[in-house]
Amino acid sequence: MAPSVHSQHAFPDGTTTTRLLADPPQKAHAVHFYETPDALFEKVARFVGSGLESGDRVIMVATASHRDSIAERLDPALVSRALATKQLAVLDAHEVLDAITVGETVDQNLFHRLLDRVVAELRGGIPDARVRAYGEMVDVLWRAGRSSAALRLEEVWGEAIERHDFSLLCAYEIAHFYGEANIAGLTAVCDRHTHLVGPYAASEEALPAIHDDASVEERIRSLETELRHRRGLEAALRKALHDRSRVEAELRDSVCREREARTKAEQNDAFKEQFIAILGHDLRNPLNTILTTARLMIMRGELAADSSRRLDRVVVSGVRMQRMIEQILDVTSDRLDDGIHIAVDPAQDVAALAATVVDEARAANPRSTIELVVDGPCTATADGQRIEQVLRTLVGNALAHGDASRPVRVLVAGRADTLSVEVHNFGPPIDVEEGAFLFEPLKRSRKSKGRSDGLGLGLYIAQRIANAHGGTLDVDTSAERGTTFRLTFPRTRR
Amino acid sequence: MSAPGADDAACVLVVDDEEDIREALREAIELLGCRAITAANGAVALEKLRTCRPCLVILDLRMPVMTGHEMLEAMQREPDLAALRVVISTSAPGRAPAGVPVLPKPIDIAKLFDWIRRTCTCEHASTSSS
Repeated sequence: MAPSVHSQHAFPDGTTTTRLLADPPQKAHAVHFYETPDALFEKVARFVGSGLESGDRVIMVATASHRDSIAERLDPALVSRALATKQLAVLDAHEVLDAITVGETVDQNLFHRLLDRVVAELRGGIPDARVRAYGEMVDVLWRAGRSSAALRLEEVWGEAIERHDFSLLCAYEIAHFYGEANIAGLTAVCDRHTHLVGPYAASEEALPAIHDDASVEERIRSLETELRHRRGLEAALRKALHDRSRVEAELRDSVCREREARTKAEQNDAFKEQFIAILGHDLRNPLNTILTTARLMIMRGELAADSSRRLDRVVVSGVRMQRMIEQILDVTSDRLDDGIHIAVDPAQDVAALAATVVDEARAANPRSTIELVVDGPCTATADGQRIEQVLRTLVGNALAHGDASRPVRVLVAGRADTLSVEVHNFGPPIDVEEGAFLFEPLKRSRKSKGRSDGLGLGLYIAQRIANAHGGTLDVDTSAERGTTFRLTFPRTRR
Repeated sequence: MSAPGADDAACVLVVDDEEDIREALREAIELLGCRAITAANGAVALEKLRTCRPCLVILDLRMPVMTGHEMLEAMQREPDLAALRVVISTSAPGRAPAGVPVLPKPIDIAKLFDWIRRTCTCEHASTSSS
């Protein structure tokens, strides 16, 4: 505690903390901010005890636990005599609060009626007998977060002091005023009091009284208030710093944990992709044997027609399975090896590749019409197998999703620098929602019906093959124009 | 069905580490009336090439002991072998060395027969073509 605040000028009428408690001026409305309950009990006991000793009438409004703690610090004989002679009135803070509050607010009439009765009983026909009171109710309200009700009660106490000419001691726990947010509350409480009861100063007993000087009093009080603010702020700051270092430590921990989790997830992902790649490779060999053997059996013509048809189903299913495995392996190699590997031929005839794919598709879909149009020179630096793969995907999609009653058209167009292959079909356009992830892996539309040739990887792989050729794969779709997928890539590689 | 005689009379050498594939291919080749010999890896295949000159080598890539790539390199170093017709039979055509024809797995038997008919100069292939 800074000594300047507890200088001899602390209170103009000569009252210091000790004097305020022992001999409070009439109409003083003092407030004390306590750090620990013990400090409060000690001061209230001194306030009450000195009052009883000096013949003052005393009103004590306190909660049961505080009342007991205060009583422990008083002379029991003095207390029992005071109670018997109606020098001391002890009221329960909660009971009084219940009696004087309506809803959330303090009713001044109810309070005055109650206090009038208590004061009249204590004075017992001696109207000018000195009365002092200690009230814990404001503290109770503030602790409960009901600060507005507490401030209202302070005002009502102020009116009562004017009516009955007595002195009052209030107290609040200082912890409730820590932090910048509580400065307004602290100021409001101070504004409603005339005196501030601080902690004791070492030299207090020896302090001389000084003459009244209103401006000095005002100044001292504002300094006191400011000091309270600063102490509160300091404590709040200390707490904030503590909280912050704790939060920072927690943050560091969580960043660490997140990093570990991410590393682990990345390792898991890499493991999964490698695992899938190995699985795909290993599935291929037995499937190759199944397909080659089944085809051989069909070719040898040793089987009855029924058995041969059944074996056809084995082959068709095997081929579908094979395509899925190839797609999975394309995706894993695309991801593990940073792009799909291509082996280019500098003079690949793309028109011939398109013709092969169209012939295959016509054979497999005898009821569909597939047109092939070739325009300009169509040799390019390309991986023939991969370009065929793209065209198979695009033609297969056009047949699966297009209007079956109208032709699918494949246009191969060679220009000076670029080569493009367009696959067009009529029919409903690709919807917007679906279009957004058309080239994403494993995002096959939920609406796509019927048998699909793969896992929804076809367009993704086709695009990656286009990219590997230094080209692009894009789509144009509308109800009027139908849907066109266009593969474009440079004819020669730089 | 299979042509009688020793390995040196073979038309096609099948090099694959999968026995089932080797046997299926042998059966397919014999269906054409050709003679096939097999090897489980490049090293075994090179050993067999000391005593025979097939019309065609069907070569897998991923094999233990000696891979298809290693066998091709070894063949390039010997003028006699460098002239042999080789077709790569692989599940990963993208990994095939440039300039060597590829017969992707699972093998399309019609394409295999095309290859044999085009490359085999011995009488077996021509007599059993249809």
